[in-house]
Amino acid sequence: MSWSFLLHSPFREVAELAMHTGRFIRSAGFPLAIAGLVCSAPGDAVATPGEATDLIVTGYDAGTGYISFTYTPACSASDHHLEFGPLDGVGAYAYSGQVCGIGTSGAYGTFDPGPGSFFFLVVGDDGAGIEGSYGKSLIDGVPAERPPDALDPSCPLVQDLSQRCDGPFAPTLDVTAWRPAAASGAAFQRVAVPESEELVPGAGIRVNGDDDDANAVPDRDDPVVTGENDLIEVVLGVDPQVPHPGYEYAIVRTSAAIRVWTGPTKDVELAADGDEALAFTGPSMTVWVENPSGGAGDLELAARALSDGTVVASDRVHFRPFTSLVIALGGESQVPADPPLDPGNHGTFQLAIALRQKGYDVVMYDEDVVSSSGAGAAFNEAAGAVQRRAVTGFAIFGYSHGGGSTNDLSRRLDTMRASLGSFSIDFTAYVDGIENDSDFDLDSETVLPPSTGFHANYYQHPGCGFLQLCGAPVPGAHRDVNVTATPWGSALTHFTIDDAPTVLQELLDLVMTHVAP
Amino acid sequence: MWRLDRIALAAFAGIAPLLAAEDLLRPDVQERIARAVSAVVHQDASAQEEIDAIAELGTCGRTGLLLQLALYLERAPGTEEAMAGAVILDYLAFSPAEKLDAVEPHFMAAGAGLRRIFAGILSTIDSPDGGAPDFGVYEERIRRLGAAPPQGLIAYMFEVSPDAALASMERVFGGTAPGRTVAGEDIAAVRGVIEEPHNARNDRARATAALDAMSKETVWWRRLYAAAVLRAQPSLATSAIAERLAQDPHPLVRTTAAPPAPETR
Repeated sequence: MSWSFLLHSPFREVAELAMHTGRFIRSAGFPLAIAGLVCSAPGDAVATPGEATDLIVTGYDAGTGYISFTYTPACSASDHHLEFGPLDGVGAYAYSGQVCGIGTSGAYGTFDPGPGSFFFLVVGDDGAGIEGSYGKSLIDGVPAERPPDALDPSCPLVQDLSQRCDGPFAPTLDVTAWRPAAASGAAFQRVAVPESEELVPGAGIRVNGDDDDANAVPDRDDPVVTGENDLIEVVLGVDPQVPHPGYEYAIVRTSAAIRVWTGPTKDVELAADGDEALAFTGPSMTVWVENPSGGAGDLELAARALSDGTVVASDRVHFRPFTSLVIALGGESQVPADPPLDPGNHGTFQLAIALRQKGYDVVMYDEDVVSSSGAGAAFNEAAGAVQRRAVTGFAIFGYSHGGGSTNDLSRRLDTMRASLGSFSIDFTAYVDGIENDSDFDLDSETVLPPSTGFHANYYQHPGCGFLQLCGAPVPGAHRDVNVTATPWGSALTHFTIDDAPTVLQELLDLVMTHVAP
Repeated sequence: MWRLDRIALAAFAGIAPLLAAEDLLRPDVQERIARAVSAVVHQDASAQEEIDAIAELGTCGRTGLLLQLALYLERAPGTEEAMAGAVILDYLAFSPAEKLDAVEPHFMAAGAGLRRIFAGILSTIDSPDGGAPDFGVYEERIRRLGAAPPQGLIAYMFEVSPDAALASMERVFGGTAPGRTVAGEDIAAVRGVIEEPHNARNDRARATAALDAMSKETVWWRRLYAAAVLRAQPSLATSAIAERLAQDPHPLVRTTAAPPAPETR
């Protein structure tokens, strides 16, 4: 696509009527067309039409009454139309008629507004529903765009100057990062990082040192990774889709700590040298960000001038590596899911989902993936997080048998420290914890998870009655709450305590206080 | 000693034709169990009466009642039903013999969910306080059955802990069996991979070599050990070992070596 520019003074009078007839009189001092940037390939760009210029009346046929004229088409216009009105209404922009679809040839020879004196304008449009500029004039002494015809008696068009091809290039850019997919366990719904958190704290991303395709090559060193789940989905949005002439869209990495790929399994790398111009085939495109070895970095989408690289618009997301992992363990027969399969009855998973939305890396499991020795899928995930993803902290919590499994998992992690590496168990919690030596274990969990930095224990009905299930105090717990003794929790049972709003809110606050994401 | 987690246990369910649990279900008993569960969940004063009422139904004795409870728990849709069911099971205080009599005949044919429940019931016999299982509690029963060892119980043992099961089999059957060709240190290498798969100091090549040798042993329970370990740690397998075990003359070895059934729970 080639573009040329014809620069005109916006207030220069570019057309004068040579004839004074009974039907058409020149209005002195009123420019009948407004100059501006003109593109030579109108219709190529997604930008809205600019302004038609250089309107010159070239003839008047007294026999037919036709006025003929020429004009320079507006950029990005795939059609033009005429706006006209009685000459004595020119000051009030009293448009009274339209002639639609006069084309883009730059000439028209059959304009007949009827008897009387008129003013008229040529206005570019997109041939569908959007019209461009009517040109500028001094309105109340201030140069301003002429108001468009709001009545549209013949041509139903709405003026849109937001992305006019001949105006200052001010595109709307947006970078949206999404929360990570679950590393293992139950899947989470796709949810975006809120706009207000894109820079501080930024989007969390896992260090990609694991081996999702089990080919004995760390994923960071693999060109393509089948089953890769550590890359962060990022949607880049632009409006207009095609930048104005003289500009380009580009993605920029501020740090080698992040890499950008075309697909979730890597595929083709973008901005390998730090930045790369992008051509959009639609209003948005999706890329995938990897953190190979730790460290933070920003991904920026910019619109910049080709001449000197001046950035005229940008949006950016900060990526920070996760340093912790949150592990949520449900109660017996609770199947983890997002959204929860039993929304009012699966508080553990509601809490897990809330923490993920707060920016934590979270996995949620059926508690039975933790054996009474602590071994199993949850431990394997935790071990891999320490050894291959630079995770140094854990939050582990569970309800009922999930509480017992919280202790089993914490104990195994603590026991295996020497072979795992450096980490801390920053936070643990039981919600009416029951030991989980088997599905039929009914003993209250009363053991403090070894080496926990902070343990919260919420339980009901200490002393457990006949045929009742209950948690119990945990000596050494930093927060040990017998909910039965509270005004808000006196009616809670083993089967409702995990859904109590106060319990869930306090746990959310405690995790956020004691665990860095 | 180590034991597999219960989710992994359920994955072993594909080793035999699945039990048609519906054929065993007694709707009247299931309904009474559900009423008792509801009473326990809501802490009704009638809870004990409701439980006692279950026991009074004709269920082929307490063994039949336990089987009905297991079938109920397999279908438990939530914590309420699962945990209240466990409370009822605890209240009824089944003996180890009753548990074995209820579970063993059906274990091999049970689907994944029921098999997980059965395993949980048996675990209350061999490891009532969690931790490593004590399979010594089953050895007299296995020894008594002699030439027709209880397939379901042995399958359970190898699923839970191949290491403990192998030791148990050696105690029960080892007296007249030829000596094992695989050294204890090599078995320890296998144990290291199983217990600490994340540990970089594991000698995985030695573990695979040990399993290769075990898969060629003349006695079936040693080959079953190899099959059970590879079921839990497929990364230790070679195609030669896998093919050999898949064609093993002993049906329990063959079925254990088969790919796991998908988790249906």
